[in-house]
Amino acid sequence: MLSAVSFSQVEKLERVMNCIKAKDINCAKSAVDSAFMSAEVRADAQAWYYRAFVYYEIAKKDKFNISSAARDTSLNSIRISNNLKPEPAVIEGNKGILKKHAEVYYNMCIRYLYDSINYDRSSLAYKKHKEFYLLVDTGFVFKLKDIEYYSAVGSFYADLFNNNNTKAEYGEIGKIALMKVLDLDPKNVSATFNLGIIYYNQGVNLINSMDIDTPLDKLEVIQDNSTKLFKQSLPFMSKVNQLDPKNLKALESLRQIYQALNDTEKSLEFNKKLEDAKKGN
Amino acid sequence: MLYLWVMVARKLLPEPYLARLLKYLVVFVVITSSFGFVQTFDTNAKIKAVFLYNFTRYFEWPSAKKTGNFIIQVVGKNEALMKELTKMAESKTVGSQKMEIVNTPDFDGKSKPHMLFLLPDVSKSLSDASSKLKGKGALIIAENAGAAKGGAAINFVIIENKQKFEYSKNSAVKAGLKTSEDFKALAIAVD
Repeated sequence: MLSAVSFSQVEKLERVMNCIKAKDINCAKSAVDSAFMSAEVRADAQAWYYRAFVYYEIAKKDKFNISSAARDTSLNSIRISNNLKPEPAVIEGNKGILKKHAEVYYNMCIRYLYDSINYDRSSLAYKKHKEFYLLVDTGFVFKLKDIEYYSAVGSFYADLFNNNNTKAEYGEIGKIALMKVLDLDPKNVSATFNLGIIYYNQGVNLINSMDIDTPLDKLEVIQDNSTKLFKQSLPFMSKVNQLDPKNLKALESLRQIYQALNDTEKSLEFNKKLEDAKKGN
Repeated sequence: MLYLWVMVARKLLPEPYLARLLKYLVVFVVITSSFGFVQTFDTNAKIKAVFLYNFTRYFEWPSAKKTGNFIIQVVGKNEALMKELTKMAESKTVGSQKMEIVNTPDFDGKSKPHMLFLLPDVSKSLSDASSKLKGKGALIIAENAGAAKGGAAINFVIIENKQKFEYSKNSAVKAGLKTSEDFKALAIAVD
């Protein structure tokens, strides 16, 4: 496999291999960097594969850092290796490293989501995960995984927003993610419900955060805006009720929404449905 | 309560287990169809409390009623409204007068409030209240169709899903109160 390179270069690449076998990554880096001084090595697809592997190992220390020079070097090495029309074994080796990078990006997107609460980075990591996974498995359909990821984002941000009403941006992120879920899966009950909840709670927040000495003209504007949000919440919650008529949370929410919309008749109607559903009727 | 779970896990679990748990959490959210919760805050009560506080600024009570506590009597049952008004009384005054919130099940005619709010369940007391409090400097507020023409100076109504109020200047004058034309412009005037 190393026929394209001279004997001295073979030696250098063997040194790289030996360092890898000895799990001495600093030694491997030094050896691979030294080997790549040679134009002959730089023309060899397998050498690039080695380099990709070594830099993948180095990038492990950056597993929760989206900007990793080592990872970029590894990924770039794979790209160049593949462009040099390598043998099937090298192609498979490159795919193996790419798959590992894709997994790293997935773990990173989860970490950014739940631990750092950084949606921008989480979605960027998820995008990279998809990009590299599709290079490994070109036919992979991401629909289910997209639903899984955006449901996780939507539920988590809805939860954050409901627990901290001052963070309006959490509600907005939750809404965008849940809308994506509904684009992919229009009958997704959980996403529909959580969207309804975000709109309703946004309306409640407007009123709850209002000062008692809010002037009447401003009160009218707040009522206009909160009413709009309650009305936006309604079709989502009604849809959940259609899809799952015994869903107690949806019945309770509809009671609350109609109460907030000052529609006592409908509020009482859903209160009765809720009581009946609780009794198992 | 997803976030709380993550916080607890972060404190308790060492790194490799935490990473694994967070990964499973994504799948868990999808499988369990995580549902948020509605806030059970009574928006109508808060809005009414804001209205009531505003009313204290638009009317002038007779000089005899400018000393002592400023009494708001709510007749009927509305726990959420009482909670909002009590909270309001803790931080606000009417001029130099401290606010006092009184809740009674019925209108007995014995008290001399500055504001009397008859809730829908006791709306039948309106004519009794308006005759007994005539000229005594009590702003009568109701929440019942036609109440603004039946003796209440203010009557809460629902228009396009929003709380508004009707205003009867005649009833306010009969009660011994003064107000401005600005106020009329904010209301649905009935006379």
